Amino acid sequence: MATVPTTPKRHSAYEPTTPLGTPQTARVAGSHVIQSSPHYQTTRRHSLYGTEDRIIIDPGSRIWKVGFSGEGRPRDVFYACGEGAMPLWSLERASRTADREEEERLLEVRLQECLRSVFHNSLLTDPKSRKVIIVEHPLLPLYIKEHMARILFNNLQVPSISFASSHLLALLAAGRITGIVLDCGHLESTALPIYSSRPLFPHLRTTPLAGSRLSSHIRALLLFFGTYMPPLTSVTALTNLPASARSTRVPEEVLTDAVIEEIKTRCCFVGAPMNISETRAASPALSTSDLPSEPPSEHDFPPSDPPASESEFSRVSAEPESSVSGFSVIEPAQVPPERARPGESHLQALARMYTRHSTATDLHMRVDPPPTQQSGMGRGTLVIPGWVRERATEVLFEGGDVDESSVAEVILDSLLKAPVDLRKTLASSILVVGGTPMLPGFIPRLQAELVRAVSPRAETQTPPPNGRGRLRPAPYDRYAPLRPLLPFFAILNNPAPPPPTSVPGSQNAGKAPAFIPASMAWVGGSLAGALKTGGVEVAREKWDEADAEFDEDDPMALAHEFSSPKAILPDWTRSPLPVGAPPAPRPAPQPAMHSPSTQTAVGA
Amino acid sequence: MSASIEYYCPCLAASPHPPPPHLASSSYSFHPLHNLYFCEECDAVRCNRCVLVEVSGYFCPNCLFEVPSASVRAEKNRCARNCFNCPICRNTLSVVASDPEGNEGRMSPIVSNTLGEPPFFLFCNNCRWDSAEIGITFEKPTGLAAQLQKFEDSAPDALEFEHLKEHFEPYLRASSSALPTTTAHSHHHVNPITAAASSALARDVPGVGKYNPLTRSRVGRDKNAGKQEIPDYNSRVEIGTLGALGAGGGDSDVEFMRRLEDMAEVAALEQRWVNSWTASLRSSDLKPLRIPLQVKKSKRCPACRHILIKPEQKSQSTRYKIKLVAANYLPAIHVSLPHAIAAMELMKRSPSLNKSLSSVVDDPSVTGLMPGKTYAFHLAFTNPLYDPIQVRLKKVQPKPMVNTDEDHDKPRRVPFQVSLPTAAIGIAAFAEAWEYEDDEEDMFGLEEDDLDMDAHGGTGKDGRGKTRTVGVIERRANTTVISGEVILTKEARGNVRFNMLVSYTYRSDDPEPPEENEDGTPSRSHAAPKAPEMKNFSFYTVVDLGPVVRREESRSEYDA
Amino acid sequence: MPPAMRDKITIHSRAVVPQDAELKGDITIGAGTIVHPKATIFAAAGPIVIGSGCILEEAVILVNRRKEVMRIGDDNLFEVGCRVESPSIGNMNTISARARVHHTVRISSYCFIGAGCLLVPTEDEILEEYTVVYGPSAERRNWSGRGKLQEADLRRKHADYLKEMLPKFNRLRRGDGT
Repeated sequence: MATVPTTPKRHSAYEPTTPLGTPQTARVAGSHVIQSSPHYQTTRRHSLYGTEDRIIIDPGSRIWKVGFSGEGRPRDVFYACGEGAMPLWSLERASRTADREEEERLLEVRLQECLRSVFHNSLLTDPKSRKVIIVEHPLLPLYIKEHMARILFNNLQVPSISFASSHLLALLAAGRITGIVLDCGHLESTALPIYSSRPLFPHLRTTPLAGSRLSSHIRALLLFFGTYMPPLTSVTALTNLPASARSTRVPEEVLTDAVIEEIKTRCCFVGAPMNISETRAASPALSTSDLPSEPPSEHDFPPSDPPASESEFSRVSAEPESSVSGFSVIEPAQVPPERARPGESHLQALARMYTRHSTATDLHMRVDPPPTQQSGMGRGTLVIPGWVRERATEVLFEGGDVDESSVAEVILDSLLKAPVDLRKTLASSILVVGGTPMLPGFIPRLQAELVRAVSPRAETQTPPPNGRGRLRPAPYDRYAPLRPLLPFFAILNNPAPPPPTSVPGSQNAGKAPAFIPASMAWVGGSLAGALKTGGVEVAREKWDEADAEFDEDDPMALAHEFSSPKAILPDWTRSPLPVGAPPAPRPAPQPAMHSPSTQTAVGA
Repeated sequence: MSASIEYYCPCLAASPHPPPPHLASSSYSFHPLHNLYFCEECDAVRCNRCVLVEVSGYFCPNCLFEVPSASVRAEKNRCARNCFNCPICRNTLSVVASDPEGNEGRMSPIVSNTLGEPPFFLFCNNCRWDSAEIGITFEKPTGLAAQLQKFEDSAPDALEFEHLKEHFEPYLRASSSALPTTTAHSHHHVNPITAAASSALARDVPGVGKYNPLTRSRVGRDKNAGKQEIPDYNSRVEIGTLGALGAGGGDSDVEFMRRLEDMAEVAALEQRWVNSWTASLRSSDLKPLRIPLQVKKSKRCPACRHILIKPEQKSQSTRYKIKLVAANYLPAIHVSLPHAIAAMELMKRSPSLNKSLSSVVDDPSVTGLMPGKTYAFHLAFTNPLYDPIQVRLKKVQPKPMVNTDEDHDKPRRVPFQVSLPTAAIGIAAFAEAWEYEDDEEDMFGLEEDDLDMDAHGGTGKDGRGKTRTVGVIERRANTTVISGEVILTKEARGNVRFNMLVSYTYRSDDPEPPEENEDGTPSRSHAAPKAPEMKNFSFYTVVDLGPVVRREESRSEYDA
Repeated sequence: MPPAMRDKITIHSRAVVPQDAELKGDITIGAGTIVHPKATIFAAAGPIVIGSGCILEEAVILVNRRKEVMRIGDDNLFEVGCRVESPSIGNMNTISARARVHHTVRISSYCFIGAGCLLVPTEDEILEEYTVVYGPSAERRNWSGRGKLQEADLRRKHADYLKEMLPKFNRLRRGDGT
């Protein structure tokens, strides 16, 4: 067992393809390579010139994965429009017409850039001879699909496009056609039950607790609890100052999106659930948050005396005032709204609890100093507290909010919606995909959270400060109907499955192939392409026809009108419903509460 | 210099008029002249966003090997020879031999032949990573990729993928044969796996069937296929097993992260994300990557499909067989702000200011624009044609944007006024000889100058009665410099950008009028002495004079 | 700033130091060391002692800001335009072009500072043997040491070539003692 962390992975036996350990060329000869089956050779045949192979595009708001069908891994993965760029789309759209039009134009040009680069830079292939499968998130707004289709058909002239549900494809990549799939991406986490390869869209549940929320949480925590040591100001500056004297608060400009992204992907991990009873005993400050049915924002002052916590809080010897203002700056945009005014002592209490529950090491990271402080003397140092690395992800597991359920609750909510007879099957084949579950420890933690949420209250006497959902008196126990399922919960791609029990379903845990969560959907798309299936196919002729009709109908109409007759694009929200059923709610995001900044440069 | 000009390509918008330059999206419609193409057939500017791109040849950017297109696919678009990128720093790796063994003494007289000993490995000259660190060594220093490709082909993800395919294929085959009519008839609406699945569902699944949420479910009512059950899939390599061995986000990864001392031990996202298979987090386990191939691209006009760019086939060559670039058809325009240039000249000449030049250029208080002031700017037109042209400029008034709901936050005022010469400006023809004659000034007769003087006299009065010259200020060879003027209001902010319509008249060289489809071509071919037929071509540009500086400490001596 | 040191320059007879090279302060240059005519060695506060077989290329600047002796070992290569103030340097190190090493860093042996790297730690530190500093953010790695014999061989050839060529175009400088 290579559980000693310092043991490099190369010693483990499962990795026969890594040319490690064996001396010299013998390994190149591949003595212990798993022999590929003869079938493998024959099925490869069709891809010699490969024009039948389709192109699989898994477009995210930030990261795109592209490649050819029939291959086990994407050919290229890239940030849409470069690292650190704004996501292509977000959960909100501008409310004003002019802003929204501008937003759509921007979206279109950026999509065009990405799609052209898929063919011309990543895959180096001629789009005119390639069918395309787009891995489609079920909540991807129709207007984005339309933009993609228009660019692919008109600008790149691909012969056909299919849209295939990302959740279903991910399940295929796990070798199954039934299960509940949680896709935890950048903008939102979405759980969708699928039975016998049919996505049960009405039971889809979603929460904005996902990668982007985690990023802003990390930023907020670092602004408060991180430490920054600027570079020397000149060559001659003698450096007798101890590190503590040079430490300052973290300037906001240091925490660029790229830095946060790097911290998230290289430093963060998910610790085991915190032992709550210990927490409670040790920190009376938290007891206020344990009050049922009261959001934490309402107690600004837990019993711990504010001045003391304040001084401790600004332990890095910076001015407390600036700390306050620093927080208020980030407040509107980045801090989750329900904690917009948490009061520092609340954060402080949180920090203390997290610190107690973390043994992770502090990390030093080299960061570019803010532009105003650049001295040409290299980079500054950002100290990331170990508990931030380990506990920043708690934000994803903190449930209890009706609108923002935790990633575990979103699965359970979806299960609750699913027909009773299917629940057992679904619960024992949960698949977790997306970029955020790539955090080490995420999936085992999710399993623990699922169990905890469903467990009888006796076991979880004192939930975590924000787990109020489980604290309420009995009538409020939302997940009581799921309690009988407790032994059945199994995450298919759990790398650390709980010891198998005799319950049939639970043996599924950890049985999925070892594809990484982030590429599951793409691999499924590749599989669907290789099997000559995939979603509903829209051929270019049909598009052109519809396009022509549309133009004749109303030449003045804007192409992105919702009422456009481009109904040839498949869209589950518009599928016919049985008589009497309520119309399927459009998943289009609500108009923004606060409209995004209007990008206006002064111009003519 | 912050002032710049870009040319409009109308491919993104339906209307021929450019979008107002203050919109962020408008910047995608404008391109530097050297990025644009010109289609002679359509008589139109084309850009990299609209041309059709075709692959005309694959090559490795490192070894310049031209890869036949038949093998590109199998080699996964990467060089299959000896070219690798360092997994740590992306530098190109070189193949080196091992040190001769035995003589560790520093000064030992090893005047050995520089060829070392057989175990060869890949070595990065930048970060000194070597492939022996991860156990990759070679007996021969050639054909390394071929030696490594065996591993790629038998990579666990590829094998697992084939396994999955085998798992689903019989099921699909069975179900598609069970549903011959439906699949044949509704090929576009249904794919076998969903059809099969929905037919499997045709037996009543409680709570599901009655919703019928899918369009697909209207097919596949065939009860016979309902018996088809898909067996459980048994993974070749289960994630749980891997996790127990210490990968894939399992406990040992968590433990590794918890005790992490140095971020560099964890591979960056970009170094890991092409893997679809569970792999180590550690940067010390990264493997070298074959260098991605590149292509020579030929480009076609999206409308008429004529070739605009066709490179020579050989990868060593940087020349083109066909190259229809806009720079050969449209006059090149260079924008400059004389006050900024003057300021920089002054800085250069006075070292007492003790500032490095670069800091001056960056210093917006010197070279930038102040609100409430008036500045001159120069536009230098250079004619690429072999015939003289006449250019007319027109500032495009911003569309009345107030019809949208923009007016309710604040009345949007135009923050600056631009004056441009209104009369036609003559620009001499291009001739190779110009490139050698530097000081040849004013090759034109006086009458044209007079014409221009009228022009700027007229507009000069407009500019608040100031005696600012707006007009031609210099002629040299095939370049004519004109001056314009911008008046900033007090509340001007942001970048001073405005759209400008440039129209030019040239003599058409088309030999025959019948060729109607080509009559708009501003051709560079040699002019036949014929009755000159004048043609007109116009294009939009956006002129960016740089940002307006907010600071009040103005340096009045540099004001125009 | 400490008072300027009196010039006291000792050059081994087999070292190659052109007269144009700028040497200031108390400097000792060992056998076989080659200094490019445009290099600068400035013993500002304390003496500088350079071992044998080092190569100082064009526009290299060595400065000693400290009182104690700045010791540079053998077979080090200082590439074009680097600036080194490190108080002690071992053997067989390479400081690449335009790198800058601050006086808070001591370099042991077989280290490699990449092109353009800024090495300005805020506290004193010692680079361990086989440390590689590379990239725009001066990241660090450990070199396995494979290929060091070949590198030493190459460096010797490099030095031999310069030893032959530099005196043909430059007047050599002798030390004070000779």
